[in-house]
Amino acid sequence: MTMPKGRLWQPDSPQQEVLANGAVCGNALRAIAKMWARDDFTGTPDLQFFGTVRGHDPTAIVHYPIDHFAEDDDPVMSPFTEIMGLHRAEDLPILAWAIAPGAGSAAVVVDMLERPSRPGMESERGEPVTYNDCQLIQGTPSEVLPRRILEKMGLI
Amino acid sequence: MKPEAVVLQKPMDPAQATLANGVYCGDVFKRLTRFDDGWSSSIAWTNYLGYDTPGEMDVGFPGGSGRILTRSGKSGGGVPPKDNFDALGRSILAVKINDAQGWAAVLIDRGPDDDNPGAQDCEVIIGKFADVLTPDLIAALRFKSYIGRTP
Repeated sequence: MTMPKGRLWQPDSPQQEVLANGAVCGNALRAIAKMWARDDFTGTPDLQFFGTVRGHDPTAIVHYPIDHFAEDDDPVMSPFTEIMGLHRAEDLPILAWAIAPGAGSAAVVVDMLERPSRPGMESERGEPVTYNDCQLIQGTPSEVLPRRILEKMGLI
Repeated sequence: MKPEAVVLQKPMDPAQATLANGVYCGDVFKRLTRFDDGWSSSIAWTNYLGYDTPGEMDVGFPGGSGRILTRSGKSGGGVPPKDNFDALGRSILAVKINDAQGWAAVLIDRGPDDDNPGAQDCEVIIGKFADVLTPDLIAALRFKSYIGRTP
């Protein structure tokens, strides 16, 4: 999935643009979680549209590494993607993930580890300023989640 | 905000912690402003909360369009996005309106992340228009009927 960038017109700092990039990815992950929650809805179509009552709580669908990997590793670190050949996203830090009810689909937000420079943003010494970007990747759980997460989530 | 910041126990670098903070804020921003609860979807995300051309401010979903206003009275050359402050003077990265309730939600650049040296943190704040937005931004949103649509 190609993500639109959280590019700001004239950020106060490169980090502000990184924040915006991350916010776009987090926003998109939550949007997918909501969509999955509604897909799982068992009520009438009208109620499903308005997202009222039943169905899964999307809050429970989004996960963060700190919730699952806090103290059990030394050094403690974020999980990384594994086999993501189709997405060209191997060995990237996973910042958040979501798993659809029924575990038929999953999505991860990864740090792309790219540090592209942005025209017009130079440091005080005139060097290009780079900023982190993220990507939202969707697939089946086994496609997009590493074994560590699959185990934590009870999927294997 | 907690350093879940998020999320990372040992960020590879401050920029990664900043990115993780942004992911968390974007998630929270979306979660707290449900369309079902009256939050506008038309400006649910301000991908370009800045001035695209002199005197104009873009508001819309990522990739979408939606110039909301030409702010008259501003001098030429565009108005720096620093003018997109919340009521406390912090830079706004995203804004969303609940017109019926009179609420605005803003995702702001909160400045240095105390829990991750060198990283930057963000925050989602929801409140009455006047408590969260500057009069200038309220006027801009009202001009394009993001505020004031609900009878």
